[in-house]
Amino acid sequence: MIDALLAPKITGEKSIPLPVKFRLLLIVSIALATVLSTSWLTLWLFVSLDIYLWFRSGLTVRQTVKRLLAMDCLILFTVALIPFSVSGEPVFSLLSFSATKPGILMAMMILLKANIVLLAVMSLSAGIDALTLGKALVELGVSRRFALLMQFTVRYIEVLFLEFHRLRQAMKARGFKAKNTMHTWRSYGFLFGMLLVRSFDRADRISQAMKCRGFRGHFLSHEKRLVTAREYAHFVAYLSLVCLIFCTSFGTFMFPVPIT
Amino acid sequence: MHIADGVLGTPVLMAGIAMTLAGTVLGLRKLDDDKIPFAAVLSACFFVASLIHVPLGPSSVHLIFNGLIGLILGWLAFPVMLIALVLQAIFFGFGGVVVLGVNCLNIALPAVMVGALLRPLRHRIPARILGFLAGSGAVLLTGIMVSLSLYLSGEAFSSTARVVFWGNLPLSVLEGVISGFIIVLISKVKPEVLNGVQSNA
Repeated sequence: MIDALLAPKITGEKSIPLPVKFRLLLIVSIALATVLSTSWLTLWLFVSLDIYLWFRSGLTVRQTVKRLLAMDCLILFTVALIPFSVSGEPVFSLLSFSATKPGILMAMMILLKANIVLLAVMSLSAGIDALTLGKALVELGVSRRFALLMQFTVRYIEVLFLEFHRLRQAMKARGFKAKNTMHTWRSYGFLFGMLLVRSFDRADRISQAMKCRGFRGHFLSHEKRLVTAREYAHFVAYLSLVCLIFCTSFGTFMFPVPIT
Repeated sequence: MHIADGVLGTPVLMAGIAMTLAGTVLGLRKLDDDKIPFAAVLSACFFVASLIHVPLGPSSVHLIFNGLIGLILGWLAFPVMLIALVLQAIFFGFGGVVVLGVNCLNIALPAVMVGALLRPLRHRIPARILGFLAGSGAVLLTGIMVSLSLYLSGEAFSSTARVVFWGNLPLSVLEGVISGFIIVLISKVKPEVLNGVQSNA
């Protein structure tokens, strides 16, 4: 799981030819438009846009389905009770609770929206690693401190994960098995505590080493990559498409069509 | 605890974004530039720890650690949680994009509250109690805030909100027990960790 942060499985060549900052803006605009729209037509149009973006992204079917399903399990838990809480025409009943048609439709719409957003995030973020993400955030005007904190965090996640494995291995070597006992929870508590103590020591050493090298809160060199006219054109085209699809949502406000 | 996109109502989403933004700006102001590497290592530590599953009943759960984050990092909980959630949303596919503000607020605000309440007591009450109060208190508050964000999003979520609240109670007890042991170990091995990042700057 952690390797996804540092070394993306897909290289940038096949993915959508947009600079990372534009991809982030597209993700946010698609997510916002999806969340705010209430018409099925709009949502299905976003699904088709997502499928196009997915084709361009070079993600494999297997990894896509795996991640979508993992999230869907979580959402199903959230929406499972909605059909029984919304009043309306009953469709079926379960243990004397009846599920209504508007409730089922609402639950399905939430499920669809969440999948649209996740698929857009996956397709557009394919090929981005966490360090590029930090750089793109600064280009978009996010506080430099925030981006720096994020880049350093990502750098040490891997290091501390290895540290955790060393501690865990030492426990295994002494015959530790996780069970539902106070002993297990105490051992985990000490494991986490030791991880924290070692992180604190490491943080101190890193801080001092950085200071020795003249670190005062920012890196001095910043390579700047210029955006080509072609990339701008691509971005504007995609953004207009998102706006256009979002506008179909207003159509139903002006000419209300009953949801079927 | 991750709420996905498309669930919550627009006013709830907007309030979450605004408050998370304010908290993050405040948190970053409290961070000295030369303390950034230091805060980042602790932030990475909590990120790694929250990926680890601990057995509970027939299944296993992961801890949130927002009580300890509040105790050690204070207002920095906002930027630290936001970074963790952005990384999770983009690279692991958990949670959503627009809902990021609410998800961050629900975890970071209890952290800040617990930290502010318990930090002055850290030398006065036994380590195990301090850890238990921090861990279980923060998770309990997070559960309340998650159910509240669902409840405020419409009548349809009222029963889900109730299930989330009750289902969260055993998690808060487990988090409290394990946090208690964590603080016991820290106060024996390296008590200065509890002084935090902000105060010893």
